[in-house]
Amino acid sequence: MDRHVVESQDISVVALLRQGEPESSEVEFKFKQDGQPVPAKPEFKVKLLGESHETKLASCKMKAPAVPADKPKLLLEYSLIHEKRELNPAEQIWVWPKSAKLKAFEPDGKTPLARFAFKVKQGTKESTAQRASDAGEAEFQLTAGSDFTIVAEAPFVLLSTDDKKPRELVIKAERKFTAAFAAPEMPKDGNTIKQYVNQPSADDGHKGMGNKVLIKVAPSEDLLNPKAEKIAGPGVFVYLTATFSGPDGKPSARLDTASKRELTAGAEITAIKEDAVTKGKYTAKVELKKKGEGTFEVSLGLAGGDTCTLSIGGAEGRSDSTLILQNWRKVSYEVRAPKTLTSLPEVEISGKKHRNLMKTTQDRIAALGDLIYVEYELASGVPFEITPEMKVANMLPGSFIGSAAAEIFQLSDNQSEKLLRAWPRAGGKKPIARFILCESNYYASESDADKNVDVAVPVKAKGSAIPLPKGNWLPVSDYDQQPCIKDFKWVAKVVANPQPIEALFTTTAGENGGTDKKRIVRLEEKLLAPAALDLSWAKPTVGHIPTEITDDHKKAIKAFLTPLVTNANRRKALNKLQFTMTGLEGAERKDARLQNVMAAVKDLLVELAKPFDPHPGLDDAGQPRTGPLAQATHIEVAKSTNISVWVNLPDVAADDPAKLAGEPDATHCPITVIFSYDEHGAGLGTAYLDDLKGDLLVVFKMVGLISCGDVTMHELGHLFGMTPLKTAKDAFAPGVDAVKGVTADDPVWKTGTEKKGHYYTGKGHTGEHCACGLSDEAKLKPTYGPYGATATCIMFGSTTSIDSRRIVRSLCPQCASLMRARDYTAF
Amino acid sequence: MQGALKLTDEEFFTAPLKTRKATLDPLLGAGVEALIADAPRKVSIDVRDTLPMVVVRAGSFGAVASAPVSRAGIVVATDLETGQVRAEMAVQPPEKSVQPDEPREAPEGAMAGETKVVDLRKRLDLPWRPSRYAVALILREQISDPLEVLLDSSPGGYKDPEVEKHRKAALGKAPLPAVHPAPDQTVRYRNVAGAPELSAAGLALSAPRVRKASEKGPLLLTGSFRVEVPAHLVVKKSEHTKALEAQLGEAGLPSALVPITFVITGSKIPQPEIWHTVLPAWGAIDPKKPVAAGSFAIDLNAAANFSEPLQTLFVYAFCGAHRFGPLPIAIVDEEQ
Repeated sequence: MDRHVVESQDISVVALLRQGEPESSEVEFKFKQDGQPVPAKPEFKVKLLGESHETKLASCKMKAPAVPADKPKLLLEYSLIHEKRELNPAEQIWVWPKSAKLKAFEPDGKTPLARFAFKVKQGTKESTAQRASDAGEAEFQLTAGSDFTIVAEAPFVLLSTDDKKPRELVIKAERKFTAAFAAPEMPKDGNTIKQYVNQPSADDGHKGMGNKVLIKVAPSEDLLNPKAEKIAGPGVFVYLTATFSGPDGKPSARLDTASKRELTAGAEITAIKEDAVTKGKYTAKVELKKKGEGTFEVSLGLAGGDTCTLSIGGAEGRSDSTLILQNWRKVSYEVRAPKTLTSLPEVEISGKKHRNLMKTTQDRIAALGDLIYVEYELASGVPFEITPEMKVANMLPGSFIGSAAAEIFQLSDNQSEKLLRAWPRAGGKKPIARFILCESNYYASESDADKNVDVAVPVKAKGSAIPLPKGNWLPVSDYDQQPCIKDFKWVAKVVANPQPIEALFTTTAGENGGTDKKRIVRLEEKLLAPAALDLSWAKPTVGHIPTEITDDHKKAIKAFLTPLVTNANRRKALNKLQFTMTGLEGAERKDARLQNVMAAVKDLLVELAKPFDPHPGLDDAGQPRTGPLAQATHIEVAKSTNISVWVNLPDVAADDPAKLAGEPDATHCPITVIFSYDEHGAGLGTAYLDDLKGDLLVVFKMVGLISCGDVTMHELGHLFGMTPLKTAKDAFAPGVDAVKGVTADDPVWKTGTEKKGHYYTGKGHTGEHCACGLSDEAKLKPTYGPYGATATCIMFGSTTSIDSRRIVRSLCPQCASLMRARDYTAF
Repeated sequence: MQGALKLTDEEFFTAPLKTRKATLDPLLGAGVEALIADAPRKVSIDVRDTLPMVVVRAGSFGAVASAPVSRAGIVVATDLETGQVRAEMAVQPPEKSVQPDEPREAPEGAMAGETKVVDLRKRLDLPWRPSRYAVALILREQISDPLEVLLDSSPGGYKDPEVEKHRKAALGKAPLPAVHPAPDQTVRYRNVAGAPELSAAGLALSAPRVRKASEKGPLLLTGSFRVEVPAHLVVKKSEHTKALEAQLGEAGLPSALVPITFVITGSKIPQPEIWHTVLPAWGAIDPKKPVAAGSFAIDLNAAANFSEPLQTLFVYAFCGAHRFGPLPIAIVDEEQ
């Protein structure tokens, strides 16, 4: 029969003597521990006690001996010496340890495993859960009767137990909790957070704003069961791997010293170590000692697209959760559009209606922004009213620019600057660009005083479109706010060919009231139909009636002819006169009289009518006629375009040029329309400087919505420092090399078999631009205009505003790389 | 002709467009094409800070539309003392994104005129010191009459003679430039067969009138010159001439070096290629009035690759007060 006790437990052994009456009442107990005699002690000697004559009892009390450290238990046996007899009871006493210790270590066998949780299992029984100290040490109570084992409690897993000292166990275990990110919150779709590194930090970077993010990690079990006892605590670590990289494994060339990409030492992060092989890869551990969490800060730098991949595990080398912080930049924009641009989509911001760019334009900007990790966001889009002044100064018929709209909003740079200066900017967000929208941007500047172009165009109709040889015009010149068309006149395009007057004669028979005493010849002119002239000859006293022309006759004929040969009448009759002479015919003298009249008329016509060109395009002096025209009266803006003016010639009076205009003939000729105009440029967009920095004029056309996106991004590119040909190393962005120009070999950014760099200045464009796509040969040309079709980058120096003519371009790898590297915290 | 615009020197600064209409209207009315450039004869550099050139141009509508002064004009200035030639587009493109001019049909019989005031100092970065310049405007196949402008102090204005003395002394001490382009199998400088004859002082050039774009080999430009050379380019054998002797080898040391600048514009691409050459001349030189004569054959392709685009090139040459051009060379493809 076995009895089980624990160390130092009070035990009593009892022996019964059943046979006869003993002679002696002296009894001595002998004990053996694991077979070895225990030295006698006085208390082992006892007196028999008996209450009946048949049974006598001997009893001894003692403390259960300690179990040797190297033994799991002890066998305590005893016997009874009485009257020289040794009596052996059937009982064996097993003494068990009353407690044991353990020391728990991490799997490395060196690092104490703090707060190791376990139960003690003896037989089928398990103790309640217990924890080791922060040093991994624990002492626990045992019960008698069975061996014990240690059972690890979650999140711990027992790896091995060293029981060389059965009551001082050395345990290797690991804390097998699942590490999780407590902050920032994991996105619902995927594990990548867009971190807008150009924005001021908000909420420790947890709302995607700022380039420093405070990361909080904790056991997911704690997060899921916040009321349960926390796994986290001092000495409990999350193991971290942080990798700073970028798209396709390439971080930006940007290397900041002030805001570089790094794990910030401090907080609960320790043992930061950079990987010997993989640059930008770090390992560290984070102690979960702060309210059940561990915190550390990552600094993400300023470059777009750069990534910080954080992988955490509840044990070293393990990855329970991965979070990627990807650098983005956010640029806000404000749209100022006239209310007439009703095609712009409406959006609601803070309960108010705003207008945004067209969706196609937005999409184009977003697509290009994706390449450089910049997101553009509408901050405000309050449309502005067309004031009466604007109605006059800015509204043009849609046909002026080939638009189907009834009216379009034209805005010059001078006008735009005035408006932008007068309007407060939308507040609240930075950086913010302001777009003022118009449908055309014809402009002049004060330095364009010499931009007079003169035109002399022959027209053959009352109303004609006169093309302009260069540039554009506006009804109101942007140069001086005066009518754009100056020195406006018409000149008949006819060269005088003076001819004598043509006189035609016919004769008819008639007495005209004449008698035998008097002969009368009647002279009439049919084209102008003056009163007939009767020339009479009286019969002399002696002889025949004369036939000669007298001085009186000549005077009369001259008086008859003089009004007929005025310039007006010569024009009217086309330099012709058609005479009819009526007189008696058929006899020599009668015929002679008619012939003499005709000769006299002819002679007098030579005298009275010098050679003359009766063309109505000529003045009396034979010079081409000319007259003034006025823009307000004679130009029809509704039929004009930016590159042609519709001229209506005066058409009221009989001799007005409209009556003259036509194919050259006796009464028509081309009319040369002459004027000067202030040449206006046609802008695609403007990025303003100085006090208007951040403001852009954007030309909006329904036929150019994609182009509008390209131009806007081009201008925004310049706004943020593109394209930095003349910038030294590190000046564009720290760590960024100076770019190569088009005459230098560029082993980094060359394209295909071409070797040269891309950046250029001039070449027919203004400012610095990118020639990516052009051949090396084309890059050496003095101007790039003819090679625009091969350019592949939107930072090329010229483009179009019409989508159907658009050359498809994007951001070249070099420009995209530089724009990734650029600091977008400010312009 | 200098003075064609009938402006006083003062008016070039105060009213440069004063005679614009009076000059243009008769030309437009008569349908006469003309390129008139004018500039002040003297500019007081202590009073003025610009050198205006007024350009009045009348041309057919199509000519003005296709080659306006603002897009195709090239200003050239030759320092008559140093021989240095500067050339640049007459008008700086606008500083904003612009749409190229839309194409437009020329109405029959239409004329157009344009006027420009070009600040030669700004466009050509002219040193603002006493000097004499020969200036002109090139417009595709046209070149304006030669103009001469004196930059000097105003009467009574302060002028430190030592400054000029120092500058001239420095010019005289400057090392002789190397011959450029260097002679080789193509580039030849002495007694060049086929070089155009020169009966008087000046320059003369010749080149193939038509050249196939695909043609390999040099685009040979032959020429002759008889020009006055700046004193500092008269060669006197010394320690400083060893490099020149070595460069020219058996040809021997030249008696003078002649700076000739070629300005090459095109019917499609007006932006000029500017090629500064230094050509050797042999033969006796009168030190009091150094006139150098010689001939040359050089490869125009050394200035730039002219095989594209297909267009007609117009080659102009400038040396001191002398100039030659345009020399047209049509670049054609096989099918033309």
